[in-house]
Amino acid sequence: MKRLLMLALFALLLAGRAAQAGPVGVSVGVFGGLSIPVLQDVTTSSFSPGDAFGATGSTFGLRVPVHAISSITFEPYYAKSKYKDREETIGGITYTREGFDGKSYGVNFILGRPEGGLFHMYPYLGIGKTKLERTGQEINKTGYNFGLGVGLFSSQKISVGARGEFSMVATGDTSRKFVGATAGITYRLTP
Amino acid sequence: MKRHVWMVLALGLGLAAPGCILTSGQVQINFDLPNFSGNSLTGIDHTTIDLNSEKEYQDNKEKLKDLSDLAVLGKFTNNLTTPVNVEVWMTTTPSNHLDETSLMQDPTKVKLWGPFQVAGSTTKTIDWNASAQLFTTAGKAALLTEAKGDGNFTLYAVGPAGQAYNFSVSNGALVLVIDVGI
Repeated sequence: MKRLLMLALFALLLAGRAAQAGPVGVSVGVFGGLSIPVLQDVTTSSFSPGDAFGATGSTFGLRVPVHAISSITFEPYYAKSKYKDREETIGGITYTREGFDGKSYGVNFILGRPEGGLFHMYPYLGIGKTKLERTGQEINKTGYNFGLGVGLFSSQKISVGARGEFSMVATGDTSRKFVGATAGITYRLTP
Repeated sequence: MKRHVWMVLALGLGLAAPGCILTSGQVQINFDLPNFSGNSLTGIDHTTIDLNSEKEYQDNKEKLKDLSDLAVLGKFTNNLTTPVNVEVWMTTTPSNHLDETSLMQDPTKVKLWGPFQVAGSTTKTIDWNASAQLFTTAGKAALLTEAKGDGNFTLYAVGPAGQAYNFSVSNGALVLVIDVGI
C-alpha cells in the first residue's frame, strides 16, 4: 500500500511539474471486456494445456488518462470483475464453487498516449490494489499488470481502442493470474 | 527502441524464473473419504489420511506455499429426530480414538471444521461455498502444517459434547487447493 501511495505521489509530482511547462491532457473513459483466470484451481493429474485457463469472466471500469509529460501517460483506473462459478463432480455428487468477485484500483503508466487512430499501439504497465472475494475466501493484495493497447478510432474528442492485458495479484510467494481483453471509449476533456 | 527491448527482456526473465510469483498456480487435490458415522452412545469413526498417497500432492509437495481453498464435502444423514451440529476434528498425529471423550483428551486435537447443522431425520448434501466458510483458523493452520510436514493425520466427525447424536456421512471428500510454485 505504501509503495502504491509513493508511486501515485510520484506520478502527481511529475504531472504537476510537467503541467507548469505545458497544458495537461485529461480524458475520461469507460471499458469492458473479458478476463480469464490462468492456472487457478487446476487438477494436475488430468491436466491438458486448455485447463490452464478457467471459465471466462467479465470486467468493466473507468480510466482517467492524464497526459502531462511527453512520453508517459498516467492513467488512474478502477475496475470490477466477476468470474463464473465452477461445477465439479466429487465423490459422485456435483458441487458448485462460486467464482471470485473482483475490485481493483491503481495507476497505469502508458508509453505515449492511449488516444490515437487506427492501429496506433501503446504498451503499458500498472500497479494497484486488488480485492478478490468469494464465500470463505478473500484476497486483498497488490496487483500488477502489463499489456498492449491498440487504437481503433479517434476524433478530436472521442477515441476507441482495445487492450490485451496480463494481470496478477501477488499472494505471498505465489499469485493469482488473469489474462484479459477489453474495449473502451475515451472522451477528451482537455487537449 | 533499445529501452523497450530491455523492458521486454526483463519481463521475459520474470516469467521464466523458477520459483517466481509469476510461475505459480493453484492445484486442487481431492481426497475421497470412506463412509463414516458418529454416535454418542456407540462411538465415533475415524479415517487416517496420508496425503502422500495422492500423486498430485507428491508431485507438488516440495513447491507447496500455502492452502488457498478448503472444503469438506459429502452427504450428511441425521438418524435422530433432533437437529445435530456436526464438527470435524483432526489429530495431527495419526490416532484411533473410539469415543469423543478419548479424542478430546488427545493433546494434538484441533477443531478443523464446523458446526454443520442437519435437521432431524434428514439427509443434507453440503454446499461447497458453505463448507469453505466452516473451516476454523486453527484448523487451516494445522492442515497447512501437515501438508508441509509428513502429511499424515486422522480425521473424526463428532456431534456436540454432552448431547445425544447419531449421524452418518457418505460420498465424503476433503478438497484442498494448494498454492504452488511451478
